[in-house]
Amino acid sequence: MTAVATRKILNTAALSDSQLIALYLQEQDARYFSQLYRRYASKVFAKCISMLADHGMARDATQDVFIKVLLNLSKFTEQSSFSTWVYSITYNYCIDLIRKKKKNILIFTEDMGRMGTEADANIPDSVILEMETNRLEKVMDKLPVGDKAILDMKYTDDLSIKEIGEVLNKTESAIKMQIMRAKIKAQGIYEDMFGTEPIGA
Amino acid sequence: MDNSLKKLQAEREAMLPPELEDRISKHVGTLSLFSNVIEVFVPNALQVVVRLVGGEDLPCLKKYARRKAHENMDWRTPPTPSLPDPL
Repeated sequence: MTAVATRKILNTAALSDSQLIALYLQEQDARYFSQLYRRYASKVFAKCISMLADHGMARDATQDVFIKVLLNLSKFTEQSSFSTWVYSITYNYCIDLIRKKKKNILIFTEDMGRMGTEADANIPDSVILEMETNRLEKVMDKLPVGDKAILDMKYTDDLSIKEIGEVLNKTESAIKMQIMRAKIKAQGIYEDMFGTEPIGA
Repeated sequence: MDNSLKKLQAEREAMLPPELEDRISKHVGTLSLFSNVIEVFVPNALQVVVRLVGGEDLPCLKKYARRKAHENMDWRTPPTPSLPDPL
């Protein structure tokens, strides 16, 4: 590889997401898009596995998400960060995929008849955040796909309630309620699977 | 310290299939080629439509048409000198 080519690749790695997008749209040079892929592919793939619970489907979904990103790159308006935009495409793509595959599937946990008590409203984050990862994986697999998405956005991507609402096209109060329901559901699943064993490893 | 969800995500990130980058690169390449083909084809297609409906040539292609006419000169006809013979 020539020194000039090496320098160009190094420069590509140093560019911000916005610069890479602008340069790709201007020059249609695949190297700029490849750099964006390298930054976000593993995260998109992890989210697809989490939501679809199947390696092959997650691989195909990751590919489809990046093609969607590529085709809609000119529509990215920088109202949110590029990562939030990519993740919102990923979550909505996976939710739609599951809706198409299983028509009557529950996307979000509905009212379980346990809502409204003081204890439920203040259910601690440690229910999810301190769970041993092997157990958490099993619990997450049992959660509805929308609940997984919402918990991922809140605790993995560190999105605000407002941003989660924008991604899922829901109001902030609906998102807060859904997070609470998802945590209660996760706690219930944990108790069903592991009894009263402590949540931490 | 990372929470359990972040740890789980990190474990899954490591499972990304390496061949996926090649597959997506091929799509990016095809799309670039397709957009270049469109860029070349669309102006010519427009020119054909303009001619079919009896309009004038597109201004951007007039220069090209003049050069083409010059290239089709008959080799048997001697060129007319543009300057008077110095002898």
